[in-house]
Amino acid sequence: MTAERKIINKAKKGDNRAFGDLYDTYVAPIYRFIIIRTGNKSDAEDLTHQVFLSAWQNIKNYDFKGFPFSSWLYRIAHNAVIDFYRTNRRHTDIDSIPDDTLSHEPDFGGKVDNLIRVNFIRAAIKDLDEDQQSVIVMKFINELSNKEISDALGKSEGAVRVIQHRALKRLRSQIDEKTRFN
Amino acid sequence: MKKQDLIKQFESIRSLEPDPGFVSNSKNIICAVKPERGFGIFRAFQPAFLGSFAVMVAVVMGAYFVGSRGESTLGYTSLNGERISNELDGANIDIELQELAYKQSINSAVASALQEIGNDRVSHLNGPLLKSESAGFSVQQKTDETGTKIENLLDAAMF
Repeated sequence: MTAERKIINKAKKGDNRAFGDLYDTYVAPIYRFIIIRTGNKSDAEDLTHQVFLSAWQNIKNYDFKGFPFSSWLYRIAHNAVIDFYRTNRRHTDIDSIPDDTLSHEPDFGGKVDNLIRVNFIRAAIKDLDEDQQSVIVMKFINELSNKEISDALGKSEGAVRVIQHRALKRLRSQIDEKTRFN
Repeated sequence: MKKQDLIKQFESIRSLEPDPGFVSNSKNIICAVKPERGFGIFRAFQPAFLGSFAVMVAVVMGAYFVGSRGESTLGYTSLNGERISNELDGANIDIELQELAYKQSINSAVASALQEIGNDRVSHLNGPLLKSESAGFSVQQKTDETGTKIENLLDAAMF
């Protein structure tokens, strides 16, 4: 049994410290996944909180059986983002991600460069459809395997590869187009 | 832009991090909430409980069908409460009708017996009839005398 599985089993028994460990492990990638999709810091924080609260309240229903915990969390997050766009019509879709989300840049110049790149990529990703956005963020930003992505989205690995290929192709053409006009 | 360049661009997004204040607050709030233990009415809708309930129903139905396969239709009918109550109702009505018919026949028999007893014109109480019967008795005696004569003649013939 892996260390993560032991922690999950403890959390399933109601151990909130164990769930706290899972929270620490996954909060950053889940937040990243959500903020790329929403482009809004406060919405991303609200949704991230909801995702983990839902995971904690329903952790007894999680059953390993070859289904990674990360995929389970991403599935909750994916559905939360879809519900957010369906129900909350008044959301403010801000194209630029705020600079205080980039906490790892030591110098100001590097931070600005990174922020420009992030917002540039974010603007391009935003035009993809929901599944393509999820696949790009999970695969290239959060570095999930195709198996984890297929479990999270409920699709076959072959379908994930097709979505990934089409998403990259579309993204490249969009970025080329944007750089040409700039 | 080449695919590899694009993938390199994605790496810059990995620097996106949630605010430490938000992480701390959110974690504390979530961990303070007790997870759903599965008790109460919603427990009945959990897959494990639904599965066990379905298995239980399947076992009961299987036992019922296996048990009833060898039985005759009479045995099967005997378990039908509605039919039994209908039969009982019918039986009660039949019993009541038979009893009524019996009482009616008894009443008429008793009435005719009483009428016969009260009637002094019946044959065995009628004086002239008795006299005529006794006259018939003498006729019987005469036939007895003829019989004796025949018997005497037969004895003479034989000896």
